[in-house]
Amino acid sequence: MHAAVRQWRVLAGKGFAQNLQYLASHIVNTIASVVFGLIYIYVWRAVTPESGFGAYSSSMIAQYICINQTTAWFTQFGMKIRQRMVQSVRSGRVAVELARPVDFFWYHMSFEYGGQVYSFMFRGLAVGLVLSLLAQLRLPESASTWLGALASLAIGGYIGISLNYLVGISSFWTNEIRTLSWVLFSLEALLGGLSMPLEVLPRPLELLAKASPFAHLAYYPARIYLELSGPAPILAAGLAWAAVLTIVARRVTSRARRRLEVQGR
Amino acid sequence: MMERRCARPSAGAPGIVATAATRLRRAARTYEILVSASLRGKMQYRLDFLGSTLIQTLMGADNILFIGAVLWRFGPVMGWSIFDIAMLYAVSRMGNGVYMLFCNELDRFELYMVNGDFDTLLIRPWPTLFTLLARGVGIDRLAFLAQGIAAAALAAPRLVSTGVIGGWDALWLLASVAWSALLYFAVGLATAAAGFWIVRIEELQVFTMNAPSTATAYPLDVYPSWLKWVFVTLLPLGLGCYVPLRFILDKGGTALNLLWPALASPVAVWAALKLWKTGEAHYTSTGT
Repeated sequence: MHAAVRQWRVLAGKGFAQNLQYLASHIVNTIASVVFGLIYIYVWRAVTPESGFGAYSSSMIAQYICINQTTAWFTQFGMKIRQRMVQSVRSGRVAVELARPVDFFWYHMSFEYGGQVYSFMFRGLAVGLVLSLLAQLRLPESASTWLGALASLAIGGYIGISLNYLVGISSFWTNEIRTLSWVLFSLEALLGGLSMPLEVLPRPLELLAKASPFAHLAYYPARIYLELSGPAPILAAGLAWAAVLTIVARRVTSRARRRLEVQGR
Repeated sequence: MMERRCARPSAGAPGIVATAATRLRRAARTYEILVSASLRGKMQYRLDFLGSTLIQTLMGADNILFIGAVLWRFGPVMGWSIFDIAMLYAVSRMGNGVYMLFCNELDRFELYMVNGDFDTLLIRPWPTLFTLLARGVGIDRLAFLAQGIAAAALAAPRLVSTGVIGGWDALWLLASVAWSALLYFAVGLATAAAGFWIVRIEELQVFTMNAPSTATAYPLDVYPSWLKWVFVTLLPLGLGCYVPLRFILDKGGTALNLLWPALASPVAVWAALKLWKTGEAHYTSTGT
């Protein structure tokens, strides 16, 4: 157990450190993310009725967008795991990765998790800081809200990486994962609630989205932060999805291991 | 080269025109050969191509689904109905689609810089930009065009029946698609040219292409004036769709709304070409 935790810590640290090399390009992307946030905040300001809708006032939606543009840097944006896996399969390097005395899924999960912590700290928080001035983001007073929101975010990051891992590992069967990446990106955007509260969707789609793992990437962490939902049931559902995705990912990994063909050089 | 030198001494004005016409014919033929080779390569897996285009068309429409969901719940935005916005989205998306179809390699230009593949373009007997664009037609990016056409097909009947568009408007809408495509090309080319100095441009593309592309899917009236100004001048993708459509769809403006993009888009392309030429002179190979 101690060795596993140490392994996780070392790999996550490496993932974090690797990202420090691309500071300049990350600054440009952070500015772009601020512009995206501005676009959505202004669009929502234009469309929301003065009385708001449901539990959301106009100001609440601006805060919702601000939180999501910040936390998405941990749960959705900037993930490199798919490309890393497909390049690894194409180059044959995957054979070495599979031969290592480290679980393949945990190796990629911990490395990516470290990278996403970097993204959140150096990119997400900067975006959040700028947008919070416009959205007049309020900070929760209750410690339990902070803990609940952070726990939900941690689970959301795990779910996001697992989903990307499943797309990445499809490269064992097909070298081209662009279409599946598109599907994942669109499902995250539509069902995750990144740019709109899920209540805006038609009722059947809203229910589907809320029950899906995608809602844990943006919608639920924001709801907990804004104190619109209690954390306990959301965290339980998030942990259940994380467990399901872990089981699926490990099963698929074990099949992929048997499937692998490497072109020797 | 020899052919060009030989033609010069005897060439009067008609000779120059004939030489230019010959060169143009040769360029068109070369482009055709290179593009067909690229298409043959991509169409080897025909079913995969059709499947991925279909999926990308359906799944990549999240932006319009977002707009649709919002308008369905809250009604018109600043006087723009769901059909007006669908037409705005259609023109912007089709412009983007035409750009992606013919200039797909500009979108992947970072790889040329990082891997040193640009070296291979320098030794070809054609301008680098010509060879680059002929290397890969973005047939696998047809989804953008398909989404735009679908949105136009949904919006047009209603806009015609309510008298919002009619007569010459169809022609102006097509012209707007062309202006939009030219502006996408200008911004895409300028962003790619930045790669000659900074090498990695993927993150810059998010800022110069993706963000304005998303923003101009909505009427620019929703943004404060400084942001609106940015999207019609510095990152001028809004100039090709929002500015003319404002007049065409009776949301305000004058006939000048049709004139500005017609004047500005060729100027933007010219400026981007100049930047490309300057950047090319600064190119340093990464070495492969």
